Amino acid sequence: MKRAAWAGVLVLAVLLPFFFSSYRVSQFTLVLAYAVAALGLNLLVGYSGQISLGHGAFFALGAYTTAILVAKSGWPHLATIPVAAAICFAAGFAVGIPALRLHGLYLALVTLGLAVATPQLIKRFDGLTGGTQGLSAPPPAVPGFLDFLAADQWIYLLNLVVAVLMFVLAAGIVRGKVGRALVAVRDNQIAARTFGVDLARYKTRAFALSAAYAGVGGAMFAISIGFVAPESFGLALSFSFLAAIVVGGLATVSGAIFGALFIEFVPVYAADVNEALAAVIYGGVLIVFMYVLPTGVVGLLRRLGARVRPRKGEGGEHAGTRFERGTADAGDGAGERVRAKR
Amino acid sequence: MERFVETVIDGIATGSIYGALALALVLIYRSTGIVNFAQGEMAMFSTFGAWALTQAGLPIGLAVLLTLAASLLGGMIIERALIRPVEGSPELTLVTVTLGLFILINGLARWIWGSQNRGFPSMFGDGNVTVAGVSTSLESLGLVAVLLGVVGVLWLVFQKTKLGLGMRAAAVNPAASRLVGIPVGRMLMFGWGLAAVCGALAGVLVAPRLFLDPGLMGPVIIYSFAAATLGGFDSPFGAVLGGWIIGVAEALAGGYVDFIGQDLKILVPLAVILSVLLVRPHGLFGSPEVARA
Amino acid sequence: MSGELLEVEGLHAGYGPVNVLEDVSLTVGEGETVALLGANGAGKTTTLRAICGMVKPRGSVRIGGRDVAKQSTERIVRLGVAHVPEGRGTFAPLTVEENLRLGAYSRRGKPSFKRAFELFPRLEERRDQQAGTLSGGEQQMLAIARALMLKPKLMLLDEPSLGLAPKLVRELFKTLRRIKEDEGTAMLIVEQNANLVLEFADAAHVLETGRVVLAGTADEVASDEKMRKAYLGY
Repeated sequence: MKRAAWAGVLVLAVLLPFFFSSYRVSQFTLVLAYAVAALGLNLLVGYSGQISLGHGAFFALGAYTTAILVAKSGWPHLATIPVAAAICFAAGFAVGIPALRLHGLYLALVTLGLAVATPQLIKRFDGLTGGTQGLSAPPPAVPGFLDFLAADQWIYLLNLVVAVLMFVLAAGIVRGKVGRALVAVRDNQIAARTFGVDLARYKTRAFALSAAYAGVGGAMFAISIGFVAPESFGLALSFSFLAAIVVGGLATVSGAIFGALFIEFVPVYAADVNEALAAVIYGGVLIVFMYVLPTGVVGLLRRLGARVRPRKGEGGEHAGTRFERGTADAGDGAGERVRAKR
Repeated sequence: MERFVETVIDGIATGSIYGALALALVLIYRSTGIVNFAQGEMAMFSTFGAWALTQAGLPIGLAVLLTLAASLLGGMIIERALIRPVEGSPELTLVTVTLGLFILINGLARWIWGSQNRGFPSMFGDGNVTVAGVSTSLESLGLVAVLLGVVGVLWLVFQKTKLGLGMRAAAVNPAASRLVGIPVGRMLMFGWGLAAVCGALAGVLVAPRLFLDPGLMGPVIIYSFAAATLGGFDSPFGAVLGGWIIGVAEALAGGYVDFIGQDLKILVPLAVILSVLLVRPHGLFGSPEVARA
Repeated sequence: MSGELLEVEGLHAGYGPVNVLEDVSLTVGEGETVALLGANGAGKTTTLRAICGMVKPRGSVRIGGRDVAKQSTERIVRLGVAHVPEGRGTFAPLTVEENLRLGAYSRRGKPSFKRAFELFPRLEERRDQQAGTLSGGEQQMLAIARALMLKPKLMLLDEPSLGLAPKLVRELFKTLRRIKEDEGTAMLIVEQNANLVLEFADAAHVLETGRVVLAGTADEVASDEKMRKAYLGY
């Protein structure tokens, strides 16, 4: 059933660029980039339980890697993606090691610092990054044999392929040994240790992986827009990614899509009214989501699904996760206690 | 030599601003266990309120007093209406709510007042004072005096009044507090109210030095996070001392270290946060349980 | 029936979908001492919690004739009910004196420590010490002294002897007896140490998996054969 749903989504995604205006299609392309980044953040926050407010920094790192390689060294666009991923993987690992000593709000603080420092660091190394002026890297041209495609459609489909690959990879990770270890680490560190899970290894790996995903997302971003500048990579970006995974649903793979849609479209629609008011609405929606849907959109869909088809949830994703227990629904909390007693 | 002392005094003055906002952060952390990422924006909003009052013709001193009173109320309302429903939720939910609040308040300020720069009058005038060859502004002295005054008042309230005792109890052990009849919810509200007042104070003190615009408190809150981290997130005394240390460090680094210059000044507090958290997570005066949070 | 200080009738309470108490009823008269006995997990603590509003029950809880089942803990405390919880509930970072002061929080006027220090001279010695640095026995004293600061009509005590050496336990009950005689405070005591409390109580109820299985005067309960075998060991 789930596979059919995914297949359906994929078909819709492929057909999408042929039914929407050029502007919309480029928006959806951004959604793909954000979704990949959000997926990475979910791996870190939802699955391994480490809060990061600095995801935007790795996104920026990936974006600039691509932009610099394309603009200054003439690299083909797709080839830059693995490089961006590798560099960000290493950077994430480097951050993940000191992060081992920090928990919860302290980790959030330090990663917040990372996000704040990013635009400044970009500006400082302006020789490489183009500083405040930004860097232009023209998007890939449509290849000859596909010239029935418009530029925006071609870019969208390119990104779609990358996104699908990243999603499949993520699903594999989550269901596999690494994913289960991460969930164990998140839910009960002490117990995980007694089961032989090497905490340090998994937590730093989670950081590295999530950074790599952000890097790929950033690369996709740079490829689609063709221009990078420090302002795009400030604190707001990191906040957005966090909002995306919380709204989409923690510890879910599909949540990244809903989250990315949320952060791309809600501010834009709200801005139709008034740019500042958009922020008010965006912030307000976030807050309300925490009261009403702390388990995100996917959490809601699952609850609805369970009501329609009363059967147990499937896969590691559904095991009573600490983050999925919201205060809004007292029943869930108490149920969890009963489960523990048994 | 004179320049060194002047730089230090300047640093203490700026540090007083960081300390005031850090106090707000600590008050909230102690009472509700939450790090309020929106504290700076709340302070900025209060400052705009004070500005609006001066535009309406009120003298700056009166405008500030009214703003402080309004901030007390505002902080209490925010706690009751927005934070109470999610108290006890997992950390991530709380972080998201305060982040949402950050975005909301910032947007609200931009919507009401727009993004252009404005001037903000200083409460202390423009005078200077020179002692033994060292010159400093009345404003700097005033800043330090205000902070000391705030700390003094808070100390009195917390240590010598029944209300203060109740607030401390509610922060330490809410369940036991209920058993002695303390209205815990109301204590938490009050904590947020007091914190909002400290934040508003930080705002009206820093505004004359910078331009008043919705981005006013953006960098300041990072410095205040560093101050609170350095001092210990549950130590009001530590927050103030941390603020001063950071203020002085920033002033000295900016004045004497060339690589840093203006752009990368923000790295100073970030470096502080990182080093403190790696070396001694509970800061100078915090209690060790804080680190395990 | 009216005129009893505490009347609990048909109490059902629990946590979420799990019911811990089923149809529990008991009364405590003015100045009366009632023991609540039973094994671990029988629901004794939950009963106390339901009475002082920490757990919201179904059924009726009346204090001084007023229905308090839906009231908040703070309100119930103001009616003169002092709860000494399991684990004492002291404010560890605050001083002994501050802890005592907090006991009188809901009362008007200046608090007087005279009675507390009279009963527990050890506390006076340590009045400026942090409560968390006190020994287990001293913390128990502090908890009871704090409850007394309320000048309560009813004291709820949850396992006061827990973790205390036998000599201290005897002292503790002697002090409780003094309080009962001098102040006329009614008490509802949850205890595992059935022997000691039955010597001292007027009436007793025995709980087993959330139900009252035996009730009567202390003597009746003490001499009940099943009771003796199960809880008193002879």
